Formats: sequence, C-alpha cells, structure tokens
Amino acid sequence: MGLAEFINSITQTVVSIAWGLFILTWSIGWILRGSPIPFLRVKRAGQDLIEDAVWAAFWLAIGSTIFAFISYIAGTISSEITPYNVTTP
Amino acid sequence: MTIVSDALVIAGQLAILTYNIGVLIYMLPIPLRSVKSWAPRLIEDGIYAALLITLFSTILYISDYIGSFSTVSLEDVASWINYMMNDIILAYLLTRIASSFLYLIPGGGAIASILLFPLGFIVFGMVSASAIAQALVHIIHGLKAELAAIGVALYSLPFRIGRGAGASLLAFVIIGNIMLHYLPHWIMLIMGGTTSSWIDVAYNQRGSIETVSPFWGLVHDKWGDVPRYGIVFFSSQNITQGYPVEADGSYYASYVLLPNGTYKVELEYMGLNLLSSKIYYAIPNDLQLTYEYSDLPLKLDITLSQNVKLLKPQGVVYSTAKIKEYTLAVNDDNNARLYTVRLEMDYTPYETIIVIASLPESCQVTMFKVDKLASNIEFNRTYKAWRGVSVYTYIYSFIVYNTPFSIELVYTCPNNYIPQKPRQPPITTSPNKTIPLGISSVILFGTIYTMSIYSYLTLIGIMTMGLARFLGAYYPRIIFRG
Repeated sequence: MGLAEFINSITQTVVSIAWGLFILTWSIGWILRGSPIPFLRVKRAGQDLIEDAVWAAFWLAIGSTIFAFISYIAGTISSEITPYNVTTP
Repeated sequence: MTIVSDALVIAGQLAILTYNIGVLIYMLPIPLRSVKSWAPRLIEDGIYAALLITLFSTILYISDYIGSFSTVSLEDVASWINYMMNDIILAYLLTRIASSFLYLIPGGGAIASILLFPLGFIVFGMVSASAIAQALVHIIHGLKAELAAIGVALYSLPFRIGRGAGASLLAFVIIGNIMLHYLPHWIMLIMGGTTSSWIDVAYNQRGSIETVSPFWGLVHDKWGDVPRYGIVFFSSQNITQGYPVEADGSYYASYVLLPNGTYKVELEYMGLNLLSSKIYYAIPNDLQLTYEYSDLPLKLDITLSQNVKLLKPQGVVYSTAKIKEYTLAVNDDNNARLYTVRLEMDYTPYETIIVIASLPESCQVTMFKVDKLASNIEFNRTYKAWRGVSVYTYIYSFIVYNTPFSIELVYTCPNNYIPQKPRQPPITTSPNKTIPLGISSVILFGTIYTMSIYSYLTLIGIMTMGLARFLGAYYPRIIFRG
C-alpha cells in the first residue's frame, strides 16, 4: 500500500466519520433546542449546532464537485498558457 | 512514476484530506469557537492546495518563460561560472608557482606571503561565491520540478503543518529559476559592461590590454547606402578613437590601433551623431576574417540604426520613428538635380515625431510632405559648421493619427556637386587614462565580482521571502545562506 492509498483510506475514514457526526450533531442540536431548560444560551448552542451540521453536510456533499471544478478551471487556464497538455493528478 | 508525479498525487490526496478534516471539524458537536475556527481555515487550505497542484506545471512553465527572456539558459550560466572559477584558480596557482622562486632566497618567504596575502583573500571570496552560485544553479536546473512538487505536497498537509516550508520551497524554485538566468547580466551590470553579448564582455573583462591587429570595414545604413566621408567613433570607458570614413564608405582602423574591449560605435556625419544598430561592438570578437586586403585581413562592418537613411549625393535623414521602407527618384533639371525621397515609417500615433534632414549648403529642401498628418508641421532650419563643411539641418516635428505613415522629402542639389570632405579627426582622444592591470585592479575586480554574486543571492532571498509570504507562509525561510 502506497502513501497515496494510505492517505486516501484516511480520507475515506474521515468522510464516513463526518457523515456519522452529521446525524449525531444534528440530533444533539435538536435535543438542546427542544430541551425543557429555560436558558437561552443552551437553546442558542443547539441552534448553532444544527446550522453547523447542515452547512458542513453541504460542504461534504459538494466536496468532490469543488475539486473537479478547480481542476477544470485550472486546466482551462493552463491550456491557454502552456503549449503542451497539462496532466492533472 | 517519477518523484514529481508521486509527490503530486500524494499532494492531491492530502488536499482532499485537509478539506474533509475541515468539514469534520465543522460537524463536531462541540460548541467551542477555538475548535470550530479551524474548520473554514482547513476547507480554504484544501482548496488553495488543489489550485496549486493543478496549476503546478503552468507555474513552472511561466517561470521558465520569464527566465528565457535573458536569452541565456541555466546550463550557460553554470558553464560561465565554471569558466570564471577555472580562470581564478588558474591565475592563483600560476601566481603561487611564480612566487615559489622567492622562497629560494633567504627571507623571501616572508615577502612572498605578504604579496600573496591580498590575492589569497580575493581568491577565497571569489571561489566561494562562485561555488555557492553554481551549486544553486545546479540545484534549480536539476531538481526544480521535484522540489516544487515536494513543496506543493508539504503545502497540502492538514493543519498547516508544512505550509511555511512548502511555500518557502515553492517560492525558492520559482524565484531562483527566474532570477538565476539573469545572474551574468547582473554581474556585468555591476562591472560596468552593459551589452547584449555579455559573454564577449566576460571574455574581454579578463584584463588583457594588448593591442589587436588593424582592421577595416564599411559603414552603411540598413539599405546598403554608404556615407560620403564622415568620422566613425569607437568609444569605451577609457578611450575614444575616431577614424575618417572615405568617400566610398570605408574606414581603416590601422594608423592607430584599437585596444581590446567593448566599444560604442557612432558615425559623425553631416554634423549629426548617428548610432549603429548594434550599439556595442566587442573587439576582437566581432572582427571577421575576410582577407579582402592581404594587409588588413580583419573586417568590421557597421550598420547604422533603422532610424537613419543616408542620402545622395551627401546628406542624411534621421527620424525618431523607425524607417521601414524608402524609395528614391532622381530627376535632372537643366542645372540642378531633383531628388524625391519617400520614407515609410512606423511609430505610435499621437506622439511627436521629429525628422532631421542634414544637407550641404548648396543643396536645398523644396518640399516636405507627411500623410496621415494630425498637426501642423513645425519647421526649423539651422546652419551648422561640420569640421570645415557648411551644413544646413532641417528639423521637422509633427504628429500623425495613424501608423504606418510616409513622408516625402524633395531637395535639389547642383548637377556637378562633389561630396565635401571634413577635417581629419584628432589622432587620439583619451580623456581617461587606461588603467594598467595592477594589484589594485585585481583586488577591485575580485571584490566587485564577489560582492555582485552575494548581492544577487541576497536579492533572490528577499524575493523568495516575499513570494513565500504571498503563498501563505507566516515565517518564510530561505533554503540557502549567501
């Protein structure tokens, strides 16, 4: 197993943990928000957690699209500038 | 798989990992700002790293491209430094061997060591400076892609672990690759030899002041027309030497020999100083062995710049605009000859163009016409005494609205006009004395050489730090110490 595959496997672990955390954070957020504790700070924290979880899920889902987009843009720029074809990893 | 593609693949995986760790931290159910603040930073880093990876070859290509403007490749720079180093060491060894005879005399050793001390000092500086520069050139030349790829991989590590190191490495490769191409130019600039053929200067700077063989040559404009008489001046920092141009446009650098060196060449003709197209000529490197005369086998032809057109029977037009083409029509009147010259020129529209025509007293301009004219033609005629020849200069200034444009100049000269000869230039004019190659000039040369290399390395260091900071290193480091 090469270094690249190793890092790739770590990435996959990280991604699956992140999806698991999404459910966790989202539910913790709702628990805090819906808890019968009359402290506004606690409810506020619950609200923040829900927001973060939704945003992070958005970034996670769009991740591969972002990298594809970057390599597309960079490929257009470099094929304009360099006379030879640029291979993107 | 090479190191470069390996490192780039790893860097790509690391960028994705960095991004995903950022997202993971974003999702953590810990409502702490200090932890959460890492999340957007990591996402951003991942995106920047991905951008750097995909633009990797473009960045290297751009730095190669900028470096190629120096017209010198890194191999040339390396071999040039090597050549300088060889010379320095050889000179040092020869001096050591020569001084070894002093040791045979009782007490001579002390004298020899006193004599050799400054030389050894200089040689040490020059050799170490050359060695550092050469090592850098070899590193950049042989490893630029590898180092840049490793730099990008370090840059992509999560939590900004290798950001400073990666950015510094990448900046070093980019800046070094561009700037080391210009190292010989920089040294020559400081040593006072600004010239297009820098290797000639490097060759001639080596201090020999022996005279060379006599030579001759033709002076002509871009279209092959020659001046009727005139003086061609060779000037360097130490000496200015003029040679008369004959009626057929030839000059002979034979009655006073010209020392080796780099010379600015100008033609003095009809009271105007006209530059040559090459501006600097290196002697003896630019001399050509033609054997057209057996006693003067060497020849140096001088082409005037494209702003100059020599006229018949004796005269010249100089323009601030570049002359592209010209036509000449000659009509005979009963006792005067009518010359119609059309010049096609190229210049920026809406900027003032100055055209100077210089003709002998007996000739007269009868018409001056410009097409695509956007202003009045301002005209001025002045009398000029040119070393015994009476000359009138006609100065026209105007503006055109489009380019290329053409001007028409009509002048008359007597039928039987014979070109007039100016007085001989002085035998030799040397305002400064030539500096003999003594111990002080050796020390000066050595110090300047060493200083110029180290100052250039410092410049590279400063630029590298700046670029590394731009790429995102908070505490940039330079790889080498000058």
